[in-house]
Amino acid sequence: MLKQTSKSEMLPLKLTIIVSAVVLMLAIVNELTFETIASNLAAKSNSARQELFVDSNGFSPVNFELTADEAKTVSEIYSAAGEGEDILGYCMNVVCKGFGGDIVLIVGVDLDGSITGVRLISHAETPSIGASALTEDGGLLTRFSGVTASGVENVESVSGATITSSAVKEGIAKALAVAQRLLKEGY
Amino acid sequence: MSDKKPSKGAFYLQIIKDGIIFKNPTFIQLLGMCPTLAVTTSVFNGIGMGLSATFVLVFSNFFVSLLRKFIPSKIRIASYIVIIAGFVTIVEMVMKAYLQSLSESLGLFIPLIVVNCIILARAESFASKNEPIASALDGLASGLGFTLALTIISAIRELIGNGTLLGYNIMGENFSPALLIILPAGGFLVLGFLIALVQYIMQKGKGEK
Repeated sequence: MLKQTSKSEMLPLKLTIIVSAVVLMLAIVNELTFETIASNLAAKSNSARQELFVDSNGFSPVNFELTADEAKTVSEIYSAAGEGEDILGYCMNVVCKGFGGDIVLIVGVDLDGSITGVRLISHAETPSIGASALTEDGGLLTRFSGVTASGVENVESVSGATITSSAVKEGIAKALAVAQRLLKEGY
Repeated sequence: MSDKKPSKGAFYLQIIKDGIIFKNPTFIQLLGMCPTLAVTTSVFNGIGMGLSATFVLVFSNFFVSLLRKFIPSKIRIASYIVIIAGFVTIVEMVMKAYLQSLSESLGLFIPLIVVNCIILARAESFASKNEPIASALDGLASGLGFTLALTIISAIRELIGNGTLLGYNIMGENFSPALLIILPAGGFLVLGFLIALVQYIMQKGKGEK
């Protein structure tokens, strides 16, 4: 009897030991890979920005005040530097609420407020359903080139990926609204 | 197998043969069907998925076996899942850091290795009853069997459905790919034919004996 009580009391303890050991192991691996993952992401974002503004000489973060609602969608804004003091446009990191979680895009907007291009940074959409719309073949993202704030609604969605398409359109519409404010007010 | 205590070498050899061929997790045991059907649209994805699962299998089997006397049977499934999830997360982080393109194309399927029934099945049916070395070997063999199956399925699907192999165009410009094979229905078709083929070969082998 006594043996059984002591045995059952060991269950939480043993599970705790196992979980702690796994957590410790994960912490170590995270420590080892964290920087590489972050720098991979930064490199990817940089090359995406460069693709959107081919002529740009560099990108610098813009400190533009966003409302709480806007900040949910637009996480970062970079200005694309041209010759001298000129600015060619802005790159925005846009977080869309997709079916499987956040879809992170970089949207390039020129000084007229029209989109120069959209690049995908990360997503968690269902493979071969929502995710297929986001690939180069799916073509959803290329449809935004040259579109202005009023035109986002009319961009054709990808059939079979309605939620993903709507999420991307909503995110980009919000980003363009921010861009218009940014272009009007300056920073 | 009539000998009650076979030598270690023979035992290990049996594990390897079973894992890769005679008890192939995909073709014979029909385990892990979801990733099998989902990721085999290209050879690159198939091999990547197979090797990731193999890595997880080897380490989870090794540690489950090492801890088999420590883990009380009442909470064994919970413990296995924690151990497996730990290794899957390691694979995910390492892949994100060093194999970005693979991690992007496999995406959601990597975290889903946690619930791949091959891994839980090997932990429960083998690693919890055997020595760590044999268990790790069993994990390796099952994993390679899984990888082999995924590679065969994905090679067929990529070649017929897309005209390429590992991204290289094999079938020439004039080949019009049978899109169906790349689509989910094609996955079921290819898998079904391959299982039938494997069964045929196995039965024939038995008959000749």
